[in-house]
Amino acid sequence: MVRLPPAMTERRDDAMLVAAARRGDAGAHRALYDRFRPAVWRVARGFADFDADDVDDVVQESFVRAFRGLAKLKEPERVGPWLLTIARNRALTRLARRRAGGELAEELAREAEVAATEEQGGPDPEAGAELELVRRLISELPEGPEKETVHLFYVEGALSAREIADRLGVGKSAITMRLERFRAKVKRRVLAEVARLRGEGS
Amino acid sequence: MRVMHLTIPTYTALLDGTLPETEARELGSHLEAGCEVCERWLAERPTADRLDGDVDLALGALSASNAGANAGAGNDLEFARITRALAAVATPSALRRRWAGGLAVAAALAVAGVAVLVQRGAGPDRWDGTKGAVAQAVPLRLRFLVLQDGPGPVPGIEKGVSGQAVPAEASLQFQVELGREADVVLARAAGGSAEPFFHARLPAGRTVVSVSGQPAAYPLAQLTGPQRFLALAGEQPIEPADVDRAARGSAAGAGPGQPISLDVIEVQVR
Repeated sequence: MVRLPPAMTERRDDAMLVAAARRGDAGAHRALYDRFRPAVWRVARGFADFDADDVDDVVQESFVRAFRGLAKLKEPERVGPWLLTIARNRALTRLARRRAGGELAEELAREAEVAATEEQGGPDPEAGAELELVRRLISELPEGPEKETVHLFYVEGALSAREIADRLGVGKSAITMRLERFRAKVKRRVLAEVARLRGEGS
Repeated sequence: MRVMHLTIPTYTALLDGTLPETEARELGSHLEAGCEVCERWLAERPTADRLDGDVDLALGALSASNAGANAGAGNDLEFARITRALAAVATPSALRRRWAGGLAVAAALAVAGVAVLVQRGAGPDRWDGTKGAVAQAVPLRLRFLVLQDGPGPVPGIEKGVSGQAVPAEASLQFQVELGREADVVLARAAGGSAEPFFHARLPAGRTVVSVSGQPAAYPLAQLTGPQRFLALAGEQPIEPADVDRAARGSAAGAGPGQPISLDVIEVQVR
């Protein structure tokens, strides 16, 4: 019997949940919510400008939008990354609206979001490989404020970005910048892997 | 080898799997070498895409075991709120009630028998609910602060989170956020019935429940155990039957009349 790696098994289960949710199975909606709510919540808590209400709103809006768009999801096994993309875009939309205070910013952000949520496929170099990569990148960070922030937020996970700013006594924007810089590093390395695999013709 | 920084066409083609293999190999080596220009380009992307989703999933998995089993776990109230929002979108509006005088109801409000007024919050942010929806239901959120006398002259003020434990000496100060102007009722659910304590027509945005221009607080003294507070909002006046139906746990939006939004918070009084 062929035993699938855990990540693949999880994705197959996710696909089954999506199929059931599309059929109107309320239990499947609840299962998807329970499964991905912590991850969506962590994405929202990464924005230091957000208080607890903002985080709750982003979580709720993300699931509403995702459940409404499940029919458009062409790769149901990728519902996790898809949901998190929606969540990040909800958060960015909220930030854009707050900072710009204008309808135009809102419209632009919404258009971009719709485009993003309708995108299909993904990098997916190897299921689970990103996690190892992230661990390695954290260990490679030089000791200092960025590593401390990344460790507190991504490894320990108990504090929000805003709470980390309070604890470290630095501005919210500094925490956001440190986390974003690290995310960009991870994205660059994941993208390098995608390019390598593409270059090998896979 | 020429320098090949990321551009939107290259990036999109790579994610789509349409970038020619030779270019992909070059780009892979370039990114692997640690290009700061490309890293900055990735950091400054204005919107999230599928790469962000994969990265966030991996980053989230890092702390999933460290932050505790319940960190970020969902709850019934939030899921019910999501379900209601979905139902509001899916159900065509059934506006069967006639407009019955609108603002006449605005002043009809009471907190434990005492007439109250409302003041509009001065905050810059207006919550607009789920954007892009075609729902007729009014976007609604009920929020609250926990007020508690402390050693100093100023009472302690803490942002309330649904489900939290609060001492009986505390009071709750409610705030209502609306996507658009609506008739609003606040009530405490008690044993399958509702005890309304606030009824007013409120503007869009955040409104603090106030008495004579001063923020009003709902005292928790005499209460113990789980306490549910409901907020209902509708474009037309809300009837007592709507409130009772909501208190009994049925979906307010599924009632026979206008689409009514419902939000619920719960506290544990100890």
